[in-house]
Amino acid sequence: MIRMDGIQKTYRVGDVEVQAVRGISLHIKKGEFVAIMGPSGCGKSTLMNLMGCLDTPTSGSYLLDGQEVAGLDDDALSTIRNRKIGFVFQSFNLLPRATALENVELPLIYRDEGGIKAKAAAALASVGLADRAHHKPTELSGGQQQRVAAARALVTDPAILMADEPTGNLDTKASEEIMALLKDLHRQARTIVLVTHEPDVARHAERIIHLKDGQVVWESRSEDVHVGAVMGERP
Amino acid sequence: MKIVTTVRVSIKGLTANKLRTFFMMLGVLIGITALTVIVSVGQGAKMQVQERMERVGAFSAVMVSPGGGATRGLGSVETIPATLTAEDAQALKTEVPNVEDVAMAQVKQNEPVKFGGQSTTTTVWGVTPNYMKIRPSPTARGELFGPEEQASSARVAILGQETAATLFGDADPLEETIRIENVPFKVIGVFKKMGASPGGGNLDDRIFIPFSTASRRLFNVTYLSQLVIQIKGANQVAPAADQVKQLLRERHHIAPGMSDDFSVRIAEQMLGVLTGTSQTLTLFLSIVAALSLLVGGFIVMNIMLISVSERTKEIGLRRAVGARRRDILLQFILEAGAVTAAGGLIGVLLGVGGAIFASSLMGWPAAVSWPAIVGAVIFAGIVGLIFGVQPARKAAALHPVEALRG
Repeated sequence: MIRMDGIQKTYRVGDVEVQAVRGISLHIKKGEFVAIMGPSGCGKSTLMNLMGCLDTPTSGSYLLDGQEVAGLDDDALSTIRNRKIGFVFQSFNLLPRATALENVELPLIYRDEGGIKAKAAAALASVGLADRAHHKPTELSGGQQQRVAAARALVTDPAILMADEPTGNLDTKASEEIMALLKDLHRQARTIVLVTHEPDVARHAERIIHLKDGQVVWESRSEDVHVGAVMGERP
Repeated sequence: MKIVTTVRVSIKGLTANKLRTFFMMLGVLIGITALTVIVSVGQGAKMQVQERMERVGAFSAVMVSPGGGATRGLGSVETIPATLTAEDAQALKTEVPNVEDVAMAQVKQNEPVKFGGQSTTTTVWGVTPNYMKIRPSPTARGELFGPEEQASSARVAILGQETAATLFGDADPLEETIRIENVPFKVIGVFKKMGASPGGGNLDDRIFIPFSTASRRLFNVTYLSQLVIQIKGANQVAPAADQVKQLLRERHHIAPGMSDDFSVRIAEQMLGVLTGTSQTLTLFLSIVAALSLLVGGFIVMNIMLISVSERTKEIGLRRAVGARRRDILLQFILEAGAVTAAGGLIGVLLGVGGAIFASSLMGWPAAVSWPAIVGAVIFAGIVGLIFGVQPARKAAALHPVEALRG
């Protein structure tokens, strides 16, 4: 599903060049649930943006669902985001004045398709919020808001679900709900990429890719994480 | 994305922050309201003058009055030069082609008029009977005088509505005897209400008597206050006016290079003179209103720029879920366009209402010009589109990653 080869991303901040991602190569198979972990500043957000086609790599090759996307222009990337990628953000990013249903509809209005309402309602029902369709985000709990965001990510039936610190703004109980939802989606054969700095969250994934200073330092299966957390970060 | 969807998204964006939308609308609204009122009142003034001129039959006539230069209004016999004569009238009738008829008038203002215990002053017109044909002057009661009264210099008078009311109140003036400068006249008719003249004079406060009676028995002068020449065919009026000028210069022995001792006017010129001032004023006020519309445009631009920076996260989210740059661009341009078009529409409605209200309150005429109104709304929309482009470009240029960060 995702194959990255020698991906680099360099920013210019004034006269200084910052290498956020320094040659990452990785492979994520269809239906896999992968967590990307690392301390802040390790480049995981940049990697997430690159994977989510929000940004383009400075160099390297990125095959998404069999398509090379590294050299695509802005319009093509927009279309790929719309067709293949669903995002769940740490801060939910719901439109505050739109209802839950309207928020879920959002990706669909950028397609020339009918049946928007029905699809959005179905997606909302799939996260268990059918009865909250006409509530505004402020009338929902944090966990419910994040489920609305998940419904919005799923409504386009994307190839990959990208979750960037999805539990970062949630309490323990709501966090568990969201992780249960992700695991559930994984069982339904969705490809999920989870970005987090919390080992407790990452352990829900099948595989964890550890980043440091813009490079993959090691990979582990989820059962190793507890060991990692207890022993501190490995070199 | 479908355009209908974009419009819906834009309107949703506007209704989300109603106060901001209202202020954006206000700038344009005020400009368009002012413009509508000004244009409506200006148009109304023009139509009023035109309508008055049509009513007095001015469009098929050439008017000659004594004295050169920019003489305006009607000269009272004691104040005008004695240059225009009945012989001139006769010569014009026979020598200028396409002349249908020539009517003569002597006018004296502030004439004392009495009936019983009532007295007033009014303008007395000595006119040839054909004057009342060229300048349609129907009577409400009684009848007009004709060639017989003219030939016999009969002491008969026709009163304007207001003059009749002043002298007689509700009583019947017909067959009564009034005194003008102490000369007795029999009232044979009362004119219908005529309103104002093209120049704004009161056509209901005057007395008509036969020309011969006026010149021999009352004013004791032979020269004229006014000549009205009726021309066959409206398109012949302008050339005939030139020939009238030519002939009068010859008859008055005016050397080449010297200025006329009379003035010749035709309806188009009068229309120009009478509406000229109001048109200049209308133009000036329209420019002021258009400037306020421009200011409104800048307000829209500023508020849209604020809106874009406030909604950076929303833009980022839309980009993340698949909006292309042009979707964002269109959304924000349409927001600006929609708000100004709506402002324009409300402004037009307020303006029309204001114009009608002002006209009923102040007695101004107002004419609602629908093409101007449609134009105003479209213009307002265009102002929005133009001033919306810059903020929309700023929105569309945001990088998704940075926009999402807020």
